[in-house]
This record gives sequence, C-alpha cells and structure tokens, in this order.
Amino acid sequence: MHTTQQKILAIFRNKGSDVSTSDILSYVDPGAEDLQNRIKSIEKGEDHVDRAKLLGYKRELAKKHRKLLHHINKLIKKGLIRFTKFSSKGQKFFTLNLDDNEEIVADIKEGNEDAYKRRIVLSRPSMPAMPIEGYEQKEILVKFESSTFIDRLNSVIIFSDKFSSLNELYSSTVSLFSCINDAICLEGFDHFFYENSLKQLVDFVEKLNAECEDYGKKITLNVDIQKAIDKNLLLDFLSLYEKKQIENVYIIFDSSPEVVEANTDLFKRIIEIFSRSKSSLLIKNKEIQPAPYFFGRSGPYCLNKREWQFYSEELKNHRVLACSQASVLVDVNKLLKEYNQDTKKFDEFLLNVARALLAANTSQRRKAGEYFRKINDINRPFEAEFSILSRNYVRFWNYNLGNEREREFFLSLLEHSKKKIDAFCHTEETIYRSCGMPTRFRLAFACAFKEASEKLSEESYNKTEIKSFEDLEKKEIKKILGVREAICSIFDGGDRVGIYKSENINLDGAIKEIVFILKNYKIPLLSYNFKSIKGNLKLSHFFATNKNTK
Amino acid sequence: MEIKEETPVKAWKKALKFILKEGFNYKDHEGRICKEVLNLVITIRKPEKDTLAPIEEINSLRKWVYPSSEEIASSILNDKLISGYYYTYGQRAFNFKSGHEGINQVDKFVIPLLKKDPMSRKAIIVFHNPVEDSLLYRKEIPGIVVIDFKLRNKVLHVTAVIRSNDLFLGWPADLYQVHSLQNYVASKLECKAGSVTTLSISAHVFEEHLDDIQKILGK
Repeated sequence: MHTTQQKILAIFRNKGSDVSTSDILSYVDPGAEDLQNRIKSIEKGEDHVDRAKLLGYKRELAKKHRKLLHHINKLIKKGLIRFTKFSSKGQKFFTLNLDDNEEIVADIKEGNEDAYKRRIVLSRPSMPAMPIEGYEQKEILVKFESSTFIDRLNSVIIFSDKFSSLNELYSSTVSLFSCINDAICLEGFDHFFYENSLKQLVDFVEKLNAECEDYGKKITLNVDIQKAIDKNLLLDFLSLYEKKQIENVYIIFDSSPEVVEANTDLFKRIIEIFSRSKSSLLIKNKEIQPAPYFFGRSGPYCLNKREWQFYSEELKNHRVLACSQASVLVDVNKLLKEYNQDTKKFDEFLLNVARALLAANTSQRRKAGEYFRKINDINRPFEAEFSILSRNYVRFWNYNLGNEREREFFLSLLEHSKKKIDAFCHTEETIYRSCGMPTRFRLAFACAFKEASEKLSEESYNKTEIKSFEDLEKKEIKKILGVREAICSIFDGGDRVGIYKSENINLDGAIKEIVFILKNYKIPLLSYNFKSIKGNLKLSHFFATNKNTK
Repeated sequence: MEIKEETPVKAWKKALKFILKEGFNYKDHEGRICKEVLNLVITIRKPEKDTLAPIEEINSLRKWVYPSSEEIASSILNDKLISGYYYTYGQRAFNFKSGHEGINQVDKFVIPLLKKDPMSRKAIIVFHNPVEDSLLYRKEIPGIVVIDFKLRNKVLHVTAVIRSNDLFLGWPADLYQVHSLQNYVASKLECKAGSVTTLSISAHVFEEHLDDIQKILGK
C-alpha cells in the first residue's frame, strides 16, 4: 500500500469519522497547511505579494489536492473509506467504511521484510463471547455500560497537584471523558485551596458539573484538610457548592478520628453547611484506607491500600492512573433465588464472571493505545504502567438481606469465593507473566448504587437512622455497624456506610458521633447524611442546639 | 540436570516429574510455596513437532484462560510495546530501549551477523535492560534473559536462558515463543530450524498447581 494511503488511514485512527480533505491534506502533507495559510493571509490583505505569486500558491495547493484525491479514490475503490458529505463550502468529508466488529488490516511496505509485523489496524470494538451471557438473560448479572464495556475504562484518578492551574486540570479532566464511562477522582484537590480565588474554584466546579451532566460522569474532589489550605476559602467554597446544588461533583474529606478531633471548629462549620442543605458529608478514614476513594454512578471506587503504599514511589510521576477497567453488577436477591444457596454454583458463577472480565481486558488491551491515547498524552513521558493498580469490579446489589441467617450465609459465601477468585487472578497473572506478557488482572468486590443500571431489582435496604449519640450505644445499631464493618472488609473495592441523622443537629454531638464511628468501626468511608432531618435549618437553630448541649 | 527429548510435550512432562521428585520447597515473596530445582536444562530436538501440545494439555483442564497461540507468538515478534503489558519480549528483541534509540537486535544484528559469519558465537539477543529492570521496586522484569543463536551445518540451534521459569504454566509458552523467533531468523537465513534448549535457572512449580500437574502427568 502506498505510504500516502497509509497516512490517510492513520488519520482516521486518530480522528474517527467525518474528516475533511483539508484536514487529511494537512496531515499527509504538512507543507500544504503552510500554503493554505499563505493564501489566506494574502487574500485577507495581510500580506502584499504580486498576483502571480498568489496564483502560483493556489496552483501548487490544487496540485496537492489532486494528488490526495487520487489516493482517496484508490482507498474508496478498495472499499476502505467512503464519502459522507459536502460542507457548506463544497469540501468533501470521508469516513472509514466499517461496520461494527470489522477491522482493516493493511500491510505496510508490501514485499518488505518487515511487512509481517508492521500493520495499521483500524477497527470498531468487538465484544468477545463471554461465559456470562446466560446470567445476563436471567437478569442476575448486568454489564455496567455494556456499550462501552471494552473501549472505555470505568474510572481514573487524576493527581491534582501535578497540574499548575485549575484551567489545565479542567481541560485535562474533560478530555478524559471519552476514555471513561463512569467516574474521575481528583486526588489531592486541596492543592488548589491555597492560591486560587473563590470565584475560580466555584467556576471550576460549576463547569465540571455541567459537563458531567451532559456526558453522564461523576467526579470526586478529595480534600485533605491537614494540608496547607486556606480554611476560610474552603468554607466559603463549600457554602457556595451546597447552595448551587452541585450534583455530579462530590467532595470527600480525607480524614481520621484524630484529625476530626483536632479540627472540631472547622468540622462543625462543615457540618453546619452540609446539614443546612440536607446533603451527605463524606468522610474517608485514611487510617483504614490511605489510597484514593471516590464515587461513580455504579458505586464507590478505591485502590488496594497495600499496592498503593508499595507503588507510590514508582508512580510519583504519573498524572493519571486507571482505577477500574470493567464492571459487572450482580443482583444478589435474584442470584440466591436462582441457585438456592448452592455454594458450588455460586463459585462457578463468579469464576465465569472472572473469565468474562479477563476476556474483556484482553480485547481492551489489544487496542489500548488507540482507546486510551489521551491518558498517554497526559502522562507523557510516563505513559507505561498507567493501569498498574487498576482492577475490574464485581458489584453486588441488594445484598443486605433481611434474614440474619441468610445474610451470614451470603457473607461467608462471598468471603470464601473471594479467595478462589483471587487465586484465579493470581494464576492468570502468572500465566501471562510466564508468557512474557506480564499484565495485571485483578477483581475487586464492591457495592453497587441503584443508578448503576435500570435492570436492577427494587431496592430493599433499611436506612440506619440515629437521633443522638446514645443511639450508637444501642445493641441494634451496634449490630448493624458490625455487619457493615464485616461487609467493608470483604468489599475491597469500596463500600459506603450511610448513617442518617433523623433529629435536629447538635454540632458537638455530631462531632462526637462521627469520631466514635470512625474510632470504633473499620469503616473506610462514612456518609453522614442529613436528608432525614425535618424542617428547614436556620443559623439561629445551631446556636440554640449548641446552647442546649452545654 | 539435563533432559533431552524429541518433542516438547515429552520433555515437559519429564521435567515436571523431575521437579516433583527432586525439587525443594520454599516460600516466595508473595507467600506462595514453590518446588524448585536450579539450572534445569531441557533440549528438544524437534521443537516443530507438536509445539503447542503442552498448551493444549493445560487448556484441556478447562480451569484457566491461556493466551491464544497468536497472542503468544506476536508478543515476541512484534516490536511495539502494547499498553497494558509492562514489557513484551518483542519490544525488547526488535526495539530495545537505549537512550532515545531503539535497537533492533534481531534484524540489525543477529541476522546480518550470521549471514556474514555463519559460525559466529556472538549472535545473542538480550532481554534484560538494567536501566529499567535493575530497580529495587520493579515488580515485572523479563523471565527470558538472553537467547543465543548458533548456526551449525546450515541448521539454526537456539538456547534460551530463563532466570525464573514456572515449568507448568510458563515453559510451554516460552518454548513456543523461542521457537517462533527461531523460525523467523531461520527463514531470513534460509536455513533449517534445529533444536531448542532452555536453561531454567530457577525451574519451579507452585504448590497450588500440584493436583493439576498430577492430572496432566496421569494422562
């Protein structure tokens, strides 16, 4: 194949569909762009040259266009590309002549000794046959975002402190929307609560929120209040954040019981802000989970803490890391009904899930350079190993079974199966490593959120409500939190423990409750929720309740 | 210990039996119990005969997903580092990173060298890159350290030195890759592909696979 034709195909690999002849020409022949610019500036009168020169430029450009069209026509004849439309100025547009699951394989330098290993491969993603399709038909299992199951990651972590400005962070974040189908974590966002103005911060979040709304993504800002931040700026920002009802950008406070106790004044004001808007205060206990934690539509995401600690030195130059490659959602109620507590069948089910995710990862890896080019662009020159900590997610829905015996059975089943799944993943990694293709294949268990899919069964969870600190001493609440703690230890991919405040807010009491929960239960992420509070809260209300507690 | 057999599958089974019998147990850095023998040499006189048979035997257990033969071969014949792999043998062989330049050790060294001097003892390609691999925190480094090519009587014999070799799950793929590269070089030299020898410095199997190994040996 002629080199010009190879270059034309390459531009479709990078730009996708509908590419104009001018765009193709600029890519194929960089000199053409210079000619176009010269002609434009002469025609605008910015450049004074004689008419003969202008005609000369135009002739030269027309010649280049003719040459290009010759090669485009050849590609059309070969059935590789096709004409799509004329622009208003009469310019032609082309696209790849491909249907789903088709691919073009063109040998470069035919007859050349290197031809066998240098190929241009242009394709649309194909979904391999997977041993979970039967479960999908029974609606026991749902692929999260099945249309982009292979060609997108679920989530990535962006390290905010590697970006010099909010504008740079914003454009990089938005540019990754085409590589992910769920969530982005802006780790270390506290970095920006120092030198930026309130307006800049609010604009940033508002713009992101709007983009997330349009593109169906969720973003989490992780804020460590122990870092050098302007605390007044943070509080002003939170007030506006709550007032503007930002729904697609979450804030998680990276904290610990000790940090909360040492910063009670700040946390009281934060609680005040969140309770007034009746939303959730999200606190990560970094003593339990030092690695980034964040939310998507499908559920929570996190990295494995041991791996995070082990690799933090090696990964210190990366700006973006993959967190999750592909996810499936398991409807536990339906699963247990189908298998009637048959442990063997449950193991088999999860092994099939693992095999399916391995197949998905293999397909994804084949074209990772193409799918995740933007991640590589942002990480350059540290492109390699951006997925070194990434996992696949098996998310469980409706697992909080009412019957205590059923619940215990399910938890022990999960624990037992997790060990088997981990061993399977380990062996697959060994096989690939032994084959000289070391790659990562891990599975994480986590909870699913209702928004993950419309196909999930009706929610059957009970809210854990507390009125005051005394409730935390009650046997039933202790038991609930104990169960949640046990679930958190199995859900290595993340869980969200929600505590709903059902009575008026007493700031000292709230601090005491948060510290107590964080200190006494191994819960990595606490969602302290104010949605159940009745009536409107005014500033005077807090003064009154505070007085009452003294 | 040296094992010499006509075909890969015979050599593989003999090596597995030897490790089960003579290997000593130890715990590796991941806490897994290994049975190991040091410096195991396996020579296959006719590697082209049922090269994929050991992989097919593993697949017959229906327990794991083994990469396709196409994927295994392309990982040593393709010069590109594919995202998602920490390294590939192909990238190291055909595009070994040294500063800004990539060195094609196969097309630009081994093949021209053996064309010019068929009896040369210098025809080696190296996979270990100390700049990238000799770092304390580096987890994934190539198992095959070096491949040596000897052209004798118009037959190309190949020896691969493997620093760490899971004889059960890894060796079948290693053999297939080395043989694929051997075929490629032999075709360029217009000679026959001869024997393949692997020197596994740590030849081991994992305790968790012992039952499966017994199943394979029992066949």
